[in-house]
Amino acid sequence: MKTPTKILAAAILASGLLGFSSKVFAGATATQTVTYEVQAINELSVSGATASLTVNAATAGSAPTAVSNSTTTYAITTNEENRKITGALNTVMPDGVTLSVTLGAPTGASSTGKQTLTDEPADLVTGISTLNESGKSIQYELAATSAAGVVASASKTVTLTITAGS
Amino acid sequence: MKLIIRQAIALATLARMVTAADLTSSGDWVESLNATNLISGAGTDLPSTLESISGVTILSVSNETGAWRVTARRSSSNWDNHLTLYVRRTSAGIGTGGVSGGDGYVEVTGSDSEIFTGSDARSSISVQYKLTGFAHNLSPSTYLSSLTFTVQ
Repeated sequence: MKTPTKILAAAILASGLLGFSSKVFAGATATQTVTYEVQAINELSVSGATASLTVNAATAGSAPTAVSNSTTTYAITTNEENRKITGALNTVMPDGVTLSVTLGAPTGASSTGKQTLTDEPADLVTGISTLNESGKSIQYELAATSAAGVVASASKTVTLTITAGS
Repeated sequence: MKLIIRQAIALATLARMVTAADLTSSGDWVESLNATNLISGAGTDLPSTLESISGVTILSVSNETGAWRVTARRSSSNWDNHLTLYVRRTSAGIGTGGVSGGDGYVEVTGSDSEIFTGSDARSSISVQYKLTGFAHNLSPSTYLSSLTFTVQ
């Protein structure tokens, strides 16, 4: 009677090999890396290369009449906190002649108002943080004393700089 | 009789075939954003979306006959929650099997998300990434995310 039993066992074994086979996926993984860097961005640009100012009038008994120019604007983008804009001339103005500038402030920042420009940086706007805006106002003013006399036409370079706020 | 049957059943159980699909990958995505990436210079912002080249990562499935699926998840050591990472398949690869799905971007999160499915061995499947959410208020830093692809 062992023979039928062996046949039964063999049959079960065969069905196990052929019928009960199934697949189990052993999970296989692979890893890659995504790396991106955002660098500090502080960009300024000025529209209009030049602003012309001419002092040529006065009220009798008073100093020559100061003149202003608001034809230029600036644009700014920064992704940092607490920046400021400073302004400086390449060389100082002649004696008795003063060039001043007033910058409009972008959102959340503050203008320091009219500042006399020299060859040393002067704060023009403070408290600038993470923004991008354009068309911000720049107003130049040229003033001269009588003692300055006649001053020949000349050009000055105004440099506006974004830098860390104090 | 009982012993033989138990042995037969045990052998039948062992006969369940276990196949382990293999998944290999190559190619990381590295990007750097600076002032030159502003949309139009000062006064403008960074582009909100950054996209890798197609095939920056190549996946290959081997040692497999039958259906499979590939999933992806990410783990980040330094991440900004304004950003969202996506992945999509940009080629069918080569091989005896086939692939389907995944030709539209799928968001990659901290949980496994199915990217595409296929069958049999398939190699050189191109993958592309996309990051959204860039803006000027993203702090300057290096952001790193590890992507784990799994074949199941």
